[in-house]
Amino acid sequence: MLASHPAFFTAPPAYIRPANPDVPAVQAIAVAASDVHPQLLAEMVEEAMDCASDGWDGYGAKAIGADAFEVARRFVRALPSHFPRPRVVTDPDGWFAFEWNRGKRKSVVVAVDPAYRLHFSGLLGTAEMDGSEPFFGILPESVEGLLQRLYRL
Amino acid sequence: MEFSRSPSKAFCKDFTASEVPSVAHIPIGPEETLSRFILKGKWKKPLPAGGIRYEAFLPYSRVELSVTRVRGLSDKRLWGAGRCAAIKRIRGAKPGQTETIGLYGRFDFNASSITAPLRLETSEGPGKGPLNHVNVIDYPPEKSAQVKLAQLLAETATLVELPAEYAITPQD
Repeated sequence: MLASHPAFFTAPPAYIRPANPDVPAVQAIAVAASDVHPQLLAEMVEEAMDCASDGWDGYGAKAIGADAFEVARRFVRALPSHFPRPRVVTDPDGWFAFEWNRGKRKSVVVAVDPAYRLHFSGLLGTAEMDGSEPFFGILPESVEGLLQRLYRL
Repeated sequence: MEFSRSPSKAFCKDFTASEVPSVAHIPIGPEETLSRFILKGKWKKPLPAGGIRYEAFLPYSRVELSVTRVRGLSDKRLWGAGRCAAIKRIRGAKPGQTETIGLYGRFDFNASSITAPLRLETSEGPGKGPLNHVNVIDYPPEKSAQVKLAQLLAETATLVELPAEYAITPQD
């Protein structure tokens, strides 16, 4: 079971969705989300608050939950500092995604599944590739390779 | 912005099936234009490197993408379809969402951008959708593939700004 993998640590209580469903989980998250990549995390908090209830996109999207925030935060922490800061995207599945975009047919997207899986897609010139990998708190080589290709283009 | 939640005569008055002949019986040609209405304001914001945000083209919630066929619709009727979609969602929105859900424009793309495995399925009529409504269907189940298809659609789409006269107002 992924949650018992030694690479994971127990989420502090502040990350747990409050028992009262009227209290947005992001309020609890925001307090704790200040340890890494502050600008990215600030954007994530802002997006999570904007998408804190179902239907935020007008097309029936799921709300961003505390679990989605926490796994995305771990993903952000796993990003090497030599890559530019990605754009924070909220996905209708209630997840976070991150996009690195350098213009036409030069973009990489990583959608972070709260079930500890990364779904990635890249348009790299004439090449297109996509796939998924489990996420153990360390950036998978496949994703790092995509980003390296993007910034070599 | 506050909207009445009671039925209104103005609701979708510009877009009723009885006033416009259907083109559902005509196959969708590859050069036909399809529109994806922008109901979330931030989707319209261009990317720093130029281009359109792929998330506007992610299929959800039935792993379908809801679009409108431009064929046979005047500008007024087409924007009326967008207004109708937006007002319906504003009325169903939760507190706090009415400020960010609305009609902000549309993304147009050629039907030829929809390639296998995707298909276009006309979806208009009672219990299906409004006039000229089409669903992009047959998305692969893998999220990564859905994202890639959204990226590809975003590459081909163009933004069409919402004319001021079709903006949604509290009186709608």
